[in-house]
Amino acid sequence: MTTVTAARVPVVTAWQLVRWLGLAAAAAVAIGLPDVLTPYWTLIATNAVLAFAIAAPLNLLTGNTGQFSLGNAAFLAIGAYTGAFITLKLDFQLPLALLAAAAVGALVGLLVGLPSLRLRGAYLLMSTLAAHYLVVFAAQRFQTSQFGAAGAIFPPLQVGGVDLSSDRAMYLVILAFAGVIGLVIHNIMHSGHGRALEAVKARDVAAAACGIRVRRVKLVVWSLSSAMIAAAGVLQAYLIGAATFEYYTLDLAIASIAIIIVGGLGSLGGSLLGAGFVTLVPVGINRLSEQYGGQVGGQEQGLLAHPLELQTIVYGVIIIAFVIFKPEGLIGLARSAGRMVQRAVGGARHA
Amino acid sequence: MSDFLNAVISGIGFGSLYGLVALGLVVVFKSTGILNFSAGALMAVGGLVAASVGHGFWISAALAMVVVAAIGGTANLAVMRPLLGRGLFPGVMVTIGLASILQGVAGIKFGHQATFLDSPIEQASFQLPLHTTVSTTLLVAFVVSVTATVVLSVGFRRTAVGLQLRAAASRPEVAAAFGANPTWIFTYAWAAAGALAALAGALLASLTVADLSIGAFALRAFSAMIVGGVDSLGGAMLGGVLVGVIELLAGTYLGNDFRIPSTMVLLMVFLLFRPQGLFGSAEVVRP
Amino acid sequence: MPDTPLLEVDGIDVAYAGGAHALAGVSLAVAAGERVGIIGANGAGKTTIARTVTCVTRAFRATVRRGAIRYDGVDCTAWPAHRGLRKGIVSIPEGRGIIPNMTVEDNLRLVLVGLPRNQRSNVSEAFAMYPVLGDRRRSMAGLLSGGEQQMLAVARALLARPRLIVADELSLGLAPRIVKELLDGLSVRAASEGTAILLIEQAATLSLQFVDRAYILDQGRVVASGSSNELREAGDMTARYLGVADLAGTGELL
Repeated sequence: MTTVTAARVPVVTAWQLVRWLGLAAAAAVAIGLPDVLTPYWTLIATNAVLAFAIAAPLNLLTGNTGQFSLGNAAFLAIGAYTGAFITLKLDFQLPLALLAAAAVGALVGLLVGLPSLRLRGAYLLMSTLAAHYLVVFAAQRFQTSQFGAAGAIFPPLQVGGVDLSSDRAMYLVILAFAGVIGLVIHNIMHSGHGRALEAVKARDVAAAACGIRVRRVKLVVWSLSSAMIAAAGVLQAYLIGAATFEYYTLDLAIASIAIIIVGGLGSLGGSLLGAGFVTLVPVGINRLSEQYGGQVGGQEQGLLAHPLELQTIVYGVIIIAFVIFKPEGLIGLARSAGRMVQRAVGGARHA
Repeated sequence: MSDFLNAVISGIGFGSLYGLVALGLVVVFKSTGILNFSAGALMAVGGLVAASVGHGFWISAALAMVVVAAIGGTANLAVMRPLLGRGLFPGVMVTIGLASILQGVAGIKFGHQATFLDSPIEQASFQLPLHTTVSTTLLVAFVVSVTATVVLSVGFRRTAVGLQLRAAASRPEVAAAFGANPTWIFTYAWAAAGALAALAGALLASLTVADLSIGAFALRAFSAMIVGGVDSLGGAMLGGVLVGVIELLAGTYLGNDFRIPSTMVLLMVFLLFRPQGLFGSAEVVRP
Repeated sequence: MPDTPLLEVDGIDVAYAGGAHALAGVSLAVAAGERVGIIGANGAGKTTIARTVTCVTRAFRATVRRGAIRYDGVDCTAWPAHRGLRKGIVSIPEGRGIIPNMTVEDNLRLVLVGLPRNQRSNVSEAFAMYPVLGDRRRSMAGLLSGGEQQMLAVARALLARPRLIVADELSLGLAPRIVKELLDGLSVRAASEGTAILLIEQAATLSLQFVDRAYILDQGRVVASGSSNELREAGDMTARYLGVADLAGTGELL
């Protein structure tokens, strides 16, 4: 008697094909952007991509694992100063700076994450608030002793003799970095670990009952996300040209939280959409200001004459609007649209 | 020695200001479970409004209190209500959004010129034995804070609104079932928080200068709230004083840069070892 | 002469925010001064009925999707909770619903401040009814024993001089003797004031001893109703719904 074993035929739905093609196309577009954009817009794109690289790990921590953290700016500072020390003082190159920043970030992230084993909710939030100020204080002392009051001035980026300081090169470096970050986070989210994170977020008592090592999960996520943010901090410092402790404010941390709220908590695509959106808002307002907010006969014209304040107001309105009306974020809207397209494409199976 | 005493006295004075803001934080947290991150912005707006009135301290401060109380109450009616029951993260983020809006609007309305407010008492400071001086404004701050604490405590214990707020803080559905109208009682809580922040802002403005930066002082109030105990009004006041004294001592003996970090260390120590604070109830730290 | 019932629930569907349907097509009525029971097993929808009738559905993210509730002939489906209180509907919530970190006295005052001035009685009345509460008036309510807490919840309801008391699982977690005492006391005072009682319970035998009429609730629907005697006699039918072994008046809580 012969047994018939069915060969495992890979089944690719039309929808999956569309997704892969879409991703490939997006990657091609992303890489080619600097060639079509003006330097001004290239810089904006660079900022947006960097903002994504900073927000995505935070989203893993807050969105997926439920750890509400104000520590983002602190980890950026850690990365920046570690990187400065490695490259400026020890004269090593960027790759080592990134690794060192990640290592220090992981360590400090572990420390900052320790209170999360005991504290929840408002108390955990307050502990990250305290951590922010303490880390920035340490950074300030470090800066004063190693670099002086003007901060750590970063030279133009170059690796192995190759000058990477042009707008295009910086963009591509940061894009590559963001790509790596995205890949790592994507893998985590779509593995068994991802489910563990969600369980910890939902109810860690129940998660423990399911055999999830809650403490380990929390500490690992804190370390990992902080390491990634710190590494991003090095690139951010290169982009800005310097690391000064005054830059690392609580508002900076809040900006990343705004991004993940607007984009969608717990979603990688959300971090991307949010980063793009939040980066473009001030640009948009500035443009409107230039066009319509000018002085007319010496009289200032309304709100648009105050672009900076208007940005602040719009920023606040956006946060409130998304929290109240669109808690699932932009990615939620995108998903609804995607579902409509999927139905149209048919989802038929190709054998 | 006089350095030490000066630091302690100023610490008590500044601490009273932190206590005032912390009282507002406690009122909002006790009733709604939300940390009000717009406290700083409310303070700053209070100071700016008072400075713009310019009719001497007390009238200006009173008007500022009314205005910011209205802002607080309106904020609750407009944006906090839909958030009821949605938890800490949305609530805090909305208060942050509120702070942003307030800062932007204040920047447009009041500009960025620093303005000044008269001090509450003509004489700026007076001498105490042992070569110490005390700023009269800080003295007023202390008296005002203690008064506010007493008034609020009595209010919480005796008045109908206070009773309903306390019930709502613990068992909101029961409070609602027994007649508490959550819309109104939370509005009162927010209005009270606004008034307290405005008063602190006015005092701070008269002490230093009226501009948006004074909102940074609200940070210490969070420390004060935890140190004192998040559901204790008296704790908020004492917590504030403790935070103020530690901050000023750190400033005197370690340097100005150490002021904020010292308050944050205090915060962290309490969070790790006594999260209910000095006078908070243990029930509060339920996960 | 047909009286308008005090409370009339007319074919309501109630669902919670997640979509979970709790009640389907439920109808019942309570006349003034009457004692009516709702009996059902766990998950039958008892607490949902309690919340709906006392107008606190919104606090629990539930909505009445169909049907109406009428109080004294007036549609009260959309009333806010405090309006229900003022009109004389008071609850003794499931789990007692006392505020643990307020004093006994403050717990009692809570109901009084929710009422308009001319309807307010005095906490001393509660202490007269239940001297034990008077002794512990300044204790934190959370420190009281289960029976004392239930006593507090009952006293609080009575202070409102209600026309309808809705008691949700009064007997939960209490020794039968204590429950009997509480119900007897409630019975006496309700009778003297003409207060109607809607007793919502799992304990079938106990309820039927106390009420004149009852409805049996199963999975969100009313599956039987009748006078207490009728239901006791139809023992095996109701037993099927409740999984109770014996309804025929052995006096045991099942």
